[in-house]
Amino acid sequence: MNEIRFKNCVMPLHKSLYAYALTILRDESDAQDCIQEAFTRLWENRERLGKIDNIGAYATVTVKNIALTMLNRSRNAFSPYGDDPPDIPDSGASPANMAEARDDVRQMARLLRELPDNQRKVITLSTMAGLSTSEIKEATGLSEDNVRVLLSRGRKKLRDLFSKS
Amino acid sequence: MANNDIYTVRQLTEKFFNATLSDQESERLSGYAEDLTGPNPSFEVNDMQLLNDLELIKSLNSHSEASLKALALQTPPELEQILDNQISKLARSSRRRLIFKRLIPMTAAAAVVAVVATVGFKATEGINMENPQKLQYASTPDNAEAGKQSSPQLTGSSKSPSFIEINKPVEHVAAKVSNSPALHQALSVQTAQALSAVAIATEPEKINLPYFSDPVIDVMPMIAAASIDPSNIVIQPLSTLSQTVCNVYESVDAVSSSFAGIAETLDLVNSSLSLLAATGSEMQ
Repeated sequence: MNEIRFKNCVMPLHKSLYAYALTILRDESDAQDCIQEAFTRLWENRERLGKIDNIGAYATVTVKNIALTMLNRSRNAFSPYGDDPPDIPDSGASPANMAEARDDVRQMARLLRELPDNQRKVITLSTMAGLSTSEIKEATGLSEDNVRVLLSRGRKKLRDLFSKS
Repeated sequence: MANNDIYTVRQLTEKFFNATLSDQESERLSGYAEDLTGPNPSFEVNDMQLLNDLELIKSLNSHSEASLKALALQTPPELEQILDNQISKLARSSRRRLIFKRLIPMTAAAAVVAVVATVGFKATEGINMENPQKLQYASTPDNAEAGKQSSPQLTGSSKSPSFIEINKPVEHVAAKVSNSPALHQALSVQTAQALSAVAIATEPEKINLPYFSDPVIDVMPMIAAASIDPSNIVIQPLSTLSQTVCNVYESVDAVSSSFAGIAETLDLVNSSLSLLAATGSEMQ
C-alpha cells in the first residue's frame, strides 16, 4: 500500500478514532498522542492493511490497545463529559425525533453522573468503548471480579434511577 | 416461538445486570432491545419490568453512539494536518531505506565491473594500439610461426601395450639417444645406433594429435574477424584471454615434453637391460 492509498483509506477515519480514544482516555492531548501512535503503527503494517476488508475495525482495535496501555499507566479517574453532556449532532432525522434523541442522551448523561466514580468509569468503558471485562481490568488495574461487581452494581443502580425518572 | 424468545431475552437481560454477558450475547441483547422497543416489534413483550430493562439497554447504546459522534465533532482541526505530515515523513523515510537497500548491491556490482575493467587495462599494457593487425593476435603465435613447430605425437609401444609414450618426432629421439652421456658410458656408439634403428624398426603406428597451438590458431581468425576498435574496452579482456589460453597450452606443451623425455629414458634403460641380459647369456 503506497502513501496515497494509505491516506485515502485511513485518514478519513481519524475523527471517529479520535472520539473513540477520547472515550477511553478522557483527555484531549492523550487522545491526540494515541491517534498519532496508532497511525504510525498502521503505516508500519500498511502491507497487511491492503489485504484487510474492514480497515476501520482494524484501526479501532489498534487505537484501543494503545489507549488501554496509556490508561493503565495513568489510571486517572474521570467524569463522562464534565458538567454538560455533549451536543448531539444532526443525524438527518425529523426535528421531533432529533429532539427526543437529544433528550434521551441528556437524561442518560445525568443518570450516569449520579453513579459513583468507579462505577461510572467501568460502565462508560464497557458501553461506549465496548471493552470486555478483561480489557477493563487492564485499563483500570482492578481485578476481574472487582470489575464485574462494579459493572453489576452500576447497571442495577442505573435501572433504579431510570425507572424513577 | 415467542415464548422461547421472551425466555431468551429474560436470560440475556439477567446476565447483563450480573455483568456475565459474553460479547456475542451482548450483541444479541442489543438487537432484541432495538427491535422490541421500536414501533414494529417482532413479538409483544407484556412484562413491563423486562420492557423497562430493554429501554435502558437501548438508551445506553444510543447514548454511546451519540456521544461518540459528538466527540468526533470535537476533533481538533489541526489534527488532520499533523497526521498528514506524519505519514508523509514516514513515507519519505521508507523510500530512503528502500533506495539504500537497492543501492548497495548496485554499487557492489559496479565496483566489480570497474575492477575487471582495470585488470583488463593492466594486462594489455604495452600493446601497440595503433596497429590493429598486431592487436588482433595480441602476442599469440601467428599462423606462420605455428606451422614451423612439429606436433608432438602419441605412440603405442608394442613392448608394453598399456604404456603410451609421448614422443617427439623420431629424428629428435635419435639425436638425443646418440648425444646422451649416460648411454655412451653404458653402451657403445654402435649399440646406441642400433637402438635407434630398433626404435625406428619397431615404431608402431602413430596416433596424430593436433598441435597444441591449433586451438589458438583457430581462435585467431575469429578474433581477427571481429570488428575491433582499439578504443573498445572489450578488446583488452579478449586479448588477455587469448594470451592466457596460449600460456596454458605452452605450459601443457612443456609438461608433455618432460614426459616424453622420461619415457625415452625408461625405454632406453629397458633396451639396455635386454641387451645386457642377451650378452650375458652369450658369454655363458
